[in-house]
Amino acid sequence: MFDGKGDGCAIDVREVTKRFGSLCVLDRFSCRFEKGRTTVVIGPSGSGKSTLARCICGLETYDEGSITLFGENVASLRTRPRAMSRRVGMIFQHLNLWPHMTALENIAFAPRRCLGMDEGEAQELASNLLERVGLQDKAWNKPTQLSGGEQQRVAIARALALSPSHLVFDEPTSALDPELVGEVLAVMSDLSKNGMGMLVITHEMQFAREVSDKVVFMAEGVVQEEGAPEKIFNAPVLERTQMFLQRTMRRHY
Amino acid sequence: MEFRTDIIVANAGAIAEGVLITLLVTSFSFLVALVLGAVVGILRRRRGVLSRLLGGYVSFFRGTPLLIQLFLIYYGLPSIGLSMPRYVAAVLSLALNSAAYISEILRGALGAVPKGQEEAAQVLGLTRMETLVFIVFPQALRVALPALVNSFSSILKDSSLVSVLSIIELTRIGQLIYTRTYRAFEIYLTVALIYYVLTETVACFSRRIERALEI
Repeated sequence: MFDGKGDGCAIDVREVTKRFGSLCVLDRFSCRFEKGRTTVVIGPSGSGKSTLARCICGLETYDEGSITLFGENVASLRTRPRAMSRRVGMIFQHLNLWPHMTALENIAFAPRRCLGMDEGEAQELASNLLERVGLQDKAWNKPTQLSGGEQQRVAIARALALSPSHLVFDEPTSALDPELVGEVLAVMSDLSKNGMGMLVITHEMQFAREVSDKVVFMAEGVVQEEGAPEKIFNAPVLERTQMFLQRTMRRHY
Repeated sequence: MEFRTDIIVANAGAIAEGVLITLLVTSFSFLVALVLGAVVGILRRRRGVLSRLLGGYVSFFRGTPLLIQLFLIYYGLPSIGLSMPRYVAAVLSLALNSAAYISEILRGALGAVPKGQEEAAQVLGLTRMETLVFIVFPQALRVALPALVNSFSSILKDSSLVSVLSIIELTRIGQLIYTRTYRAFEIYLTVALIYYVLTETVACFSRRIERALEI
């Protein structure tokens, strides 16, 4: 019923250009993100990855081009109907849990306001989601009483509460201590295996290699190379991709 | 020289009435200032003509003496056809003066809430109003609370100035007792102590709330 258009495309970014002053961050960027698939976007910092995520989620306007979510064209969040922003959830690098609410309240808040659930329903949903990310015993903790990894898992549960069709992750583990990265990636792998569509911006190459269906290498605001993870990691065509991967791998291993 | 406590005891009833009026004037002024300050503080977050006009208001009321503002509002405004009862003039002056400070306090506190907090609400489809009321405001209030309590104490002390409009509040009562007894030391020391106890009580109360709100 959602996917009336029939094609397998969740997010279709076409010729999108975004400038900050004289700096062109996205330069006629085009890419399709398939329904139910996990696409990992990699690239050097300043390549426009975060801006891409923010444009898709409506936090940033763009100057030219179009972004289509599930067959519907969207310009920015202001003009975007609630139902539309519910279809795509976003997880941030800087966690952004609301500090004055407990983990449970963080998750239950949006379903109550946006889906009109009553308190009991919303809390039950929130408890189930906490269980799904392995934090059922932390329901009444405030964000400051949780580790970074736990906070990010709550943030994932919060995004899931509106039953989105696609999740956009903007460097979800970059702000975490190294030993906390694994637990977040585990939750993400689990979601991916269960058919959640995901667009993941990350520097975790191991995750990209093992979990993703497609890897997109972007630099200077355009897609340089894209393809199956085996192809990108084992046989990249461009020298630039090879160089980037070499540098990243050396740093990580 | 002897310390005439009997004068204070004999006038305790009148003093109590003065305290009541002081508290009423202060509370009303603070409530009005809070609402006005919140509106001005929110509107001044965006740039534009309105924001600049409000900036002019803030700057004027912070840069001129409260006593002159009182005179201007009570004695000055009637010449352009705006006259009002003394109590209204007193509350309005105190509120306008305090709102100028409170708007800056709230603007700063709103600015201290990280942008990501709003963005997290936005991507979940919450409206701007819902985001402001449920996400940004509760966090900003926590930051602003000590300064807001301070504003309350300021109004409490500044309210002694409205005695010049013949409002029979604590300071005015003190003056009246003085003109009958000429015992300045006993009377004004008592009045000062009462103000002190009131502001300290408020401060103590605020420290308790702050501790309770700590995450």
